[in-house]
Amino acid sequence: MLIEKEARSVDEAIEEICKELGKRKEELEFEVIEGKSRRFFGFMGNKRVKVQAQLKVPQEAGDEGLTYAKMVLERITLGINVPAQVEGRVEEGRIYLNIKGDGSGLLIGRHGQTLDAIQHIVGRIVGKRLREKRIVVVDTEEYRERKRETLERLARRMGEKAKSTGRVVSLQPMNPRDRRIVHLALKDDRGVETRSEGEGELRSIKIIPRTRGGKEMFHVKH
Amino acid sequence: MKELIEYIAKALVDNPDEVKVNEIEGERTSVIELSVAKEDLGKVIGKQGRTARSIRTILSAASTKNNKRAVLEIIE
Repeated sequence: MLIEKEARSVDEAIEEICKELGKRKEELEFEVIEGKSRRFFGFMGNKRVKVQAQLKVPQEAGDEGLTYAKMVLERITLGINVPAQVEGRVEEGRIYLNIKGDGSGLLIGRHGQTLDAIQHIVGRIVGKRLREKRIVVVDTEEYRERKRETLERLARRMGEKAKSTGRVVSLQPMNPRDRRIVHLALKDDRGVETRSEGEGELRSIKIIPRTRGGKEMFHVKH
Repeated sequence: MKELIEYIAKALVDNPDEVKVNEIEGERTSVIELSVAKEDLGKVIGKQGRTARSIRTILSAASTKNNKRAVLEIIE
């Protein structure tokens, strides 16, 4: 819905529009489409301004990306022959989708690879439609959260191992998202340092015990 | 399954009208052939083949569910 008003100043036009629609200024979006405020000239001249206003669309409900992403994901699960309900939300521009009621793990796949594949495809399709890149996260049965916890436990255990043996511990190759979880889990551990090495699919983390004052950590007893 | 591949491919490319999917049914395995406009090839393959790999992974999940093996061939 669009409404236009002409008045002597922008403020006056806004006031009139609000009165007419019975809305507060905050509920509307305004655009000056003709002329600038002639306030400087006071009563001189009778230039008028034209202001256009429309109702603000609530962010969540109106997120085109979210609506489309949900539809695409439902369409794909239907195609796999696991019809599922999808719920979604937007947080800081990211689209989070949760597949409800699969339960079989079929949509997760080995090490989450089916879920990652679905996420990648939905992300590409949504990016194509919106003509901008949006981060889409697809989850089911809290898999991503469980995976994160598992990785954090692994990181801490391997961090301890590196410290107690004084040797570098190499982890399996991981994707950037998983590596990030490991790096973060150990970032406050002063006894070790983490580094990613290798390229692409083979990039993996090394946990390196830190030496202090030239002495190996494992020589220092506390 | 052919239909799922067709949906995904059409949603990814610039020229959906040029997407052709052909399913060759075998006794145990069927081959799904996908062809797209030349300039769209990159869209269905993706960086380092990631999109193609994702489509294949989704296809194998569908195969498991439907008890029928299917492989995807992208025709150039």
